[in-house]
Amino acid sequence: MNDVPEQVLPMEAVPLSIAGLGAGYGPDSPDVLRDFSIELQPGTITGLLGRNGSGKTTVMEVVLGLTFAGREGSVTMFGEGSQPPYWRREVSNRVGYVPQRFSGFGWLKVDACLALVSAHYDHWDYDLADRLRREWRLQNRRIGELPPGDRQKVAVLLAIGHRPDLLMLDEPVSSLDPSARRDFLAALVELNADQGQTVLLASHVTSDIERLATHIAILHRGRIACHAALDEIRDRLGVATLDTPPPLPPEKTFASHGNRYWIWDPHDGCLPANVRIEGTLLEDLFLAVTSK
Amino acid sequence: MRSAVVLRAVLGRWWQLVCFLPFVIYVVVLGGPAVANGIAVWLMGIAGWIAGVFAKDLGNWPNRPLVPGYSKTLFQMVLVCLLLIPLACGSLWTALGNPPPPFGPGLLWGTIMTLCVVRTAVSPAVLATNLAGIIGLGFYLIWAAKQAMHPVVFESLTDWRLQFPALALAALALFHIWRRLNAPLRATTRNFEAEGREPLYTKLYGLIAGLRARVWREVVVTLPLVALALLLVLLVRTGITTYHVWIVFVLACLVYSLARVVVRLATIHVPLRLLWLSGAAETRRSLGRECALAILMLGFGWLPAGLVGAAILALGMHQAAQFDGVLLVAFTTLLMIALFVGTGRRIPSTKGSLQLLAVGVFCGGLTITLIHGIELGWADRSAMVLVLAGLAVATWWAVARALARAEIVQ
Amino acid sequence: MDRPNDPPAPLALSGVSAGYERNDKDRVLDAVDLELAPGTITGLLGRNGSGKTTLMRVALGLMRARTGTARLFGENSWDSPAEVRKRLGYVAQQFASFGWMKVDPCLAMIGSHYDDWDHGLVDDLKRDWQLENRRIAKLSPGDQQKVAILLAVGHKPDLLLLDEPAASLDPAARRDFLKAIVELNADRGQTVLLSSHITSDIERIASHIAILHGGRIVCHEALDEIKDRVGLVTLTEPPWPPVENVLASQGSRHWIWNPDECGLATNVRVEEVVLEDLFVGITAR
Repeated sequence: MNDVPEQVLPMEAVPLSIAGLGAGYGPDSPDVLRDFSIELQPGTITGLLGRNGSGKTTVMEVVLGLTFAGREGSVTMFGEGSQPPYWRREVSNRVGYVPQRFSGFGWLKVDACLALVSAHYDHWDYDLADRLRREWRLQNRRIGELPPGDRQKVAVLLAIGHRPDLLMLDEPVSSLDPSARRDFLAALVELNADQGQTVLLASHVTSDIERLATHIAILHRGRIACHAALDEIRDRLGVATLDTPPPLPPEKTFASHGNRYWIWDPHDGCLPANVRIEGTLLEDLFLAVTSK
Repeated sequence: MRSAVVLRAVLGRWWQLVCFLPFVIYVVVLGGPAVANGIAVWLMGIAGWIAGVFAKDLGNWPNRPLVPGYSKTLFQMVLVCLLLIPLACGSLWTALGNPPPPFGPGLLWGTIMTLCVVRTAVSPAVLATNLAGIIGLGFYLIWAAKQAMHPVVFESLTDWRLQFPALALAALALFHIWRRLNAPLRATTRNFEAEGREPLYTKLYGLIAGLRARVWREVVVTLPLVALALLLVLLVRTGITTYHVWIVFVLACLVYSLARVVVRLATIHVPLRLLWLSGAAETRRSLGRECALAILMLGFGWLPAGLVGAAILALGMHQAAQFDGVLLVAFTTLLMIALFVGTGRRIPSTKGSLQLLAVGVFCGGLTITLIHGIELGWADRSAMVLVLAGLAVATWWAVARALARAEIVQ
Repeated sequence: MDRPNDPPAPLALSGVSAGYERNDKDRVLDAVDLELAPGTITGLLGRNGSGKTTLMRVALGLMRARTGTARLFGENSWDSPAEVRKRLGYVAQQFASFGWMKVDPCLAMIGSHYDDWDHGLVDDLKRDWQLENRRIAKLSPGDQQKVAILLAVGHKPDLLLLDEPAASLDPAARRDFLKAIVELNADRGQTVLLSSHITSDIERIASHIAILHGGRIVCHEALDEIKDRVGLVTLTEPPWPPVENVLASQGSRHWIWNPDECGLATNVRVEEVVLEDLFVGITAR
């Protein structure tokens, strides 16, 4: 079954690059995405944040060719452009996706479902899948009869069993219990460390993103409103509470909400000495960016 | 290895195959040559429907286009279902000493059924309508064939002048199935609007989605029945007796009701839960009565339509025919109510398998009654109607009771 | 509505067991005892598949308890009278109903089933949550969840059961939602049972927590009590704390009641309890 040559695509190519993507559902409905651009560097874990209905799911579905919503712009995966990526076997062997709601296979048992999907991949890591199954205490029952959290675990197994180089996760953890969430996030970090897997993770749980991600991207009004390394945000961004807007060049002010201002390098003397500078909480920053 | 896991997955739905089996055996073994010609076509339709359901079930998850070669597997499975099952049945039939059945029209219908099931959004109503269509039309064919009213129709089915164009059209349909299996899934609610890429679908879905009032929805759902009535009127002009036309129309109405009831049963926990939690139902017993009534009204809502239509068609008809009609209605009532009780008891898990099994039993029972009940004498018929009516009342009481005791899960 | 002077507990389960299969061995719940005091907000925690949803279904009378009794305001929940049920609100884990309806007609339809539907509250929440009047099937899962919550709180229920209501809400909507729950609770002493996997949310609003594990409630305590009196210690050698003081153990980590009174070695550091760790510890057994 291994008749496909390995690694046709260059390993170091940018896993995912999106430029000027526009998307919307139906001819008359408003745009969901407008001029959406982002580029993921290999080996990074990017947390995609956005309010409900802001289009996080649409981004993933358009990129993977799972919907017809894309209107304009270009998507490049591992340096391969223009065509829906699923047409090429060597691309789809390197991509994994966990949808927001895993539906389907209701009458299949977990084992049969895993066997069915794994038979289609060139490389399937049975050890990894078995180990996670054991740790997650996933019983071999019909998928339709599993509680939603367990169903989500099946979806995750189906998406990471072939050890993809690019993994896209659409709110994978919101229905997992804390123990399973920890196991899953640990497995994700492990995969990322082992093989430099690139991850795009949409989630509402900002604490998980803070714990896990190297970069964050905030999606607001159809665009990326903020895309930065999390370390950078932690180290260089400070929050100042001011009564009047600070007399600063616009590129210094990152975001504002009411009388709170997120300022790059606040300690370099650009602010009066008596202003108290706080550290940044990701959840607050998210609320500030998306309140505009 | 891949075919083994697919087979294992498909066999998880063995009951879907099993519920049609007794019926198929019955007609293959007992039917005459004319039936066989009709059956071959009908069997292909069933095979196509099963293939479509399998392909849909296995393909109905968002990641489908992402898994390498997955769509190809599904397509291979469809081909196996469409070709191997009818070939086996056809060979058996021919081995019994009969002329070879009409594969061309059969395959065409089979592929069209597959396409219908694969193309539809997941809406169970549409699936049920497909099912109703296949059963209704199948009955019509069997019925017409049994009466051997127009042997020329069935002889022409095996004519090469029909076979070849039919095969060519079937190939076209297969190509569309292949394309559909490779396209993104349209099941997710958001993708529903993306049908806008195809102009015909925009209009169709726009029409259905735009009809807000329930009345209009019902009217739209009636349209296929109206179309069938028109078709039958045309057939009357070609010489088929009014009596058979009448039977077919009532049958279609009943089958349609049945499909709608099955759909309603699959989602019964929604009204049950609402009525219970909001305190609108005072007690468990009133909850059961109200919901049973609602479902029955919906299910039998088509009966008056069928009967009125039948009355128009049956003007000046022979009295025996009216009696057969009563028999039919009573029999269907019983089966429907048995279906309610069967599903009502299983509400905790609402097993689709049971529903379909009940549909299979219903098909078999109804066909056998149709084929043999006609020859019964007056006294037998009266006794049968009485017994059935009594049973119907008893089971009606059981529905409300089953619903009242049901646990509302899902 | 008239209330007796000493109101019965909004929800009381005693010895409740329940399961889905017909044989008695399949027990999702196995002798659950839980009583909610009026006006409390209880966070129900448990692993996936531990039976949180089943517990709520039994409490609401949607499922029958195999053994034991479930009482709502003193009435047996399986056939509770209509007045009792009108005081309930329930948000199911997945809201997949009424997909063909728009938001406003759906709210109006459900509202018509209740005598005292609070249109003001519903409209306010709808505005705060920026909920558009679109067809429900076309809303994002988060927005659908908001509709489900509106449907459950519109009649200002005295007992509100929420099955993972916030899982699919974004942080902003979650804040609004939690605020609305706290406000309802403060205004009218509403009792809330809330299951969630986001322990930080539970820590933020709950007054009590209940942990469901192995079909039983293994821990039901006031959150303040746990914060004040339980400590986390890491022990590798004796002296061990008395068994009755140990709340949970995971490896060498032990959560113990009143660590000062346990005669521990002086060099043992007592750490603050983080709810998430405690949950993982209790359910690891």
